[in-house]
Amino acid sequence: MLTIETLNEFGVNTKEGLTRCMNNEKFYFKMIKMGLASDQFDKLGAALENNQLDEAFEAAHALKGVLGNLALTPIYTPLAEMTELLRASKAEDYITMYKPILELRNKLLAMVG
Amino acid sequence: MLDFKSSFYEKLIRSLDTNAVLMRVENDGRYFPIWCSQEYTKMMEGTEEECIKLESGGNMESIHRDDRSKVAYLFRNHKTKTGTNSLDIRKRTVQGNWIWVNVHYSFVEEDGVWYAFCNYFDITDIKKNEKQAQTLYESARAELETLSSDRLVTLRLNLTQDIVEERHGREKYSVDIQGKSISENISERVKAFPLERDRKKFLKRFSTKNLLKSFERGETSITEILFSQRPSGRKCFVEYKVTLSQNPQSGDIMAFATERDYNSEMVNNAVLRQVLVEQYDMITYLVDGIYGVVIGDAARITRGSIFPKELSGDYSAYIEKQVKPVICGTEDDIKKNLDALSLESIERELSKKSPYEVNISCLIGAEIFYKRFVFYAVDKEAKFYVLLKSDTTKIQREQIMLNSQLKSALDTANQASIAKTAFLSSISHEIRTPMNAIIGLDSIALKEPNLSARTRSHLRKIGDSAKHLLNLINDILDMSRIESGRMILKNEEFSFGAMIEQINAMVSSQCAEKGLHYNCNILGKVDDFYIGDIMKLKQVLINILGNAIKFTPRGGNINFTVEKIAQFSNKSTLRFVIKDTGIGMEEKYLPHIFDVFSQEDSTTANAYGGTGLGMPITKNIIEMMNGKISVKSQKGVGSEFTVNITLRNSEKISEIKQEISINPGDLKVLIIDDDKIACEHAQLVLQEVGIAADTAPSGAAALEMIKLKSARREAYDILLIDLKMPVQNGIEVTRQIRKISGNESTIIILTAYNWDDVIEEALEAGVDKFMAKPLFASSILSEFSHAIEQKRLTLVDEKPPADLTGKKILLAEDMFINAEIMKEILSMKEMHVDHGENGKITVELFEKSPLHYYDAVLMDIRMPVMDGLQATEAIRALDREDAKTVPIIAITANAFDEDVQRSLQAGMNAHLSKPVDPDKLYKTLEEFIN
Repeated sequence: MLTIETLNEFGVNTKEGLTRCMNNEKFYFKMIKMGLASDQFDKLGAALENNQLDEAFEAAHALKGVLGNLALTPIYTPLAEMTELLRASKAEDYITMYKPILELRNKLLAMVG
Repeated sequence: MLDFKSSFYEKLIRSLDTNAVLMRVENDGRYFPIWCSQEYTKMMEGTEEECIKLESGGNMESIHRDDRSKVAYLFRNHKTKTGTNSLDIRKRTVQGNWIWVNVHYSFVEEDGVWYAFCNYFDITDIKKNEKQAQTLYESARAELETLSSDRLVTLRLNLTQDIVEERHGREKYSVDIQGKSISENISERVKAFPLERDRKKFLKRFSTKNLLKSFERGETSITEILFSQRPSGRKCFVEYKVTLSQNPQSGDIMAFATERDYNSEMVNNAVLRQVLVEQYDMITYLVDGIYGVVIGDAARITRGSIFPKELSGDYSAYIEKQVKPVICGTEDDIKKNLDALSLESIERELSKKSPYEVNISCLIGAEIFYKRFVFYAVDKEAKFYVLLKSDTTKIQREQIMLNSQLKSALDTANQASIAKTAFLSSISHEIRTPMNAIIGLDSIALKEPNLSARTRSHLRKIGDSAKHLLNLINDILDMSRIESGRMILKNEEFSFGAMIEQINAMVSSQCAEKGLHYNCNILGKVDDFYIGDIMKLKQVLINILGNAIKFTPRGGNINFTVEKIAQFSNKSTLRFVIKDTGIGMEEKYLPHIFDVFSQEDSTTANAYGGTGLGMPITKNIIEMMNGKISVKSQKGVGSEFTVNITLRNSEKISEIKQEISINPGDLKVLIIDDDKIACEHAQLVLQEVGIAADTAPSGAAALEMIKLKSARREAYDILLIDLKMPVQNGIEVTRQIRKISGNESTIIILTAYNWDDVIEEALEAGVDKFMAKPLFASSILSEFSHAIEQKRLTLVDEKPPADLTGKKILLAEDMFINAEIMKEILSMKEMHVDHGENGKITVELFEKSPLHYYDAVLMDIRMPVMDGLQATEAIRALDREDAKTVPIIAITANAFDEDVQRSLQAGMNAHLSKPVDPDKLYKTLEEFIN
């Protein structure tokens, strides 16, 4: 079961996230669940696999906004970095970069249940 | 009762004077009035009945006690008495007033009954005059008989009989003239006057014949001053005075003559006259609007005369004819002075106080003469005044010359002083500019990591010396400001507690560094807020405390005590006592401690440093604040400075303390300076206190940055703008900033120049504060927080924020989660949200909505189908009234400056970055919806 404490342990800025959700914990968790379950993660993964960097950027940017809103910092920070690289169309090993992000997301999603 | 024959008496009454009374007389002398005339009743102040009743039955109550026997005798003996039946008696009227009457009694017999017909004359007035004459005569006699020391001879002369009746006196002539003829002896008498002039005068005035003539003319007193030789041979002035009167008994004309030593009066008068003539060119009396010259000679006044042409005459006419035509000055002066010389003014002023003085200037023959009129009241009730007129031209001209000399001396001194101030002021700034570079570069150089210890030490010393020099220049500038009166005191509300805290923070760290014990005590209750010039007060206290630190050796104590010693109406007097256990001063030096460039001995300056201007500046500032500073000191024991300052009370109460503690990390600061070194230095100084500042090399660049910050709703807290910049100076930049971003930021002009001349223009343009270059880390935070606090106080009156309840918001957001969160945030304030999943849908929603339905649009940028920028452009392009005005706020994860710029270009009002902070969103909406 996902609690504020566990989120904190992962380095999520729950305080900020809760503030944005008007301290409505239930709503916050609902949003987190939705956020983590977003199909944008899959879209991003597929685009990277296919080396469609523009589409990858679109997906990354969209995710960045969502994750930022929820203050899911441990996922947000590397994703934001990746987004800027994609925005600049830099040739990087995005797949390797995305791997830990995806892993962490999957871990949290599993906990949310 | 009336049994007499009326026909006879009727005839009698008609033929005689009507002031009469008819009485029946008994044999024993008692009488009964039967009838009285109208005239009689009038004299007796009663009715006929009253008058008859008054004397009925021989009642003599109405006759004076002394006269009753005369009347009674007459009535008893009327049959046998011979001679006049006329009496002068005093009668009391019905009203009780005493009158003198002359009564003529006629006694007639009719059928064996005697009647008395009494005819009355009122002789009261005659009797009164007689009495007066007697009194006068008696007093003259009395005077004659009393001998005083200066009375040489007194004589009683009977002029009618031509006889010397009496002679008294301490001087006797060879012939005793008492009892002898006056005219026969007068030739002998005349010999006593050695001068022919006086002999003639004496004979003319005092011969018997001439004295009698004088008396006939009504003269009663004749006085002459004569030069005489006394029997002893002594020569002297005498006053020969004769008083004439008639002996009421004998009817003879009498002369009472006295001869008095007049030497001292002659001398007195001569001297007094001389003095008066010297002082005044005219002395006149003034009574009933008529003047009469007593002393004065037109001939003595050769030039510029307004001496009256007539020696006596109408005062107003004199002023009108002789003063008014020449009086000069401004129209007002002339009117005022003529009014002051009017009889009404003289009377009015003299009734208040005497003397009354009027000074006028007269233009006579192309020259200005000054005249002084001094009026004295000799007798206020009688309105008898004396006018002393003098010519003060000489004195005035000397005074004017002296004044003009003084004025030119003062002008020269002032010019010199202005020149000195201007010089000091300009040189200070000229020096300050390169100093700025030295200190800036020095601190930058010290940041170099690979410095040798030697170089580092040199750089430190350069820095210290430069800072000392800068202090000196600042002090000189302060002093020149004080001297030229350009130092202006502010009256602003300040937190007293915060000021003391700031002082303590600074002083205690310095004390700790030097190993001194510092103690600050606040005795009793001191308010938290006062109104005054906090910066100057702080400067004063820090200066004195700084001195205490400087002159107290390691291990010593410094005590700072604050106490409210008085409170009256809306002010409080605070006492600050700064006591140290330092080296102290000799008593003889104490009076010089506040002199410019004074230190007790020349070696002090070397050992302790300092500009020698600190104490004079301190004292001057305290005096400008109407305060007082005093000092007690003992060599080797310590010094104690006491400062008393009166501050205005503030209505602000301590409980609602709006303590503004600024967190340097949160401060957003922009430095605008064309000088790269200065920019870098300022940035470095700010960095030292934890402020990360942006820099801009020009006004134009700064404006761009400010625009973006403003759109992000992250306006700069503080803008530090250099005053002297090419293209646009700091004030112009300020003006433009205020135009685009309003009054939000605190703008501080940073300059090495004197800002006194531009301060008004600057304040008008929207500058909040000036700070001298270069900046110092030690003071910057307190200066900033003070500036921000002041700013917040002035911003209180801004329009109230809009109430967001029920507002309708159109939200464009493709990400469901973001939209959900945004809806949640907006619904907290009970706003109604419509959601468009992309730009196209959003535009359609807006298009379909009634006019002014949406209060604001929140626009995501990156969206499928149509992005936020295109959507914004589309909305703005719609042909409906609210398309151009509805606030559109970008909400995006795109946070680069270019993104902000693009949003603005597309027609958005603000640009908030994701993740959005609810409070910031509310604030932005409140502002734009308003």
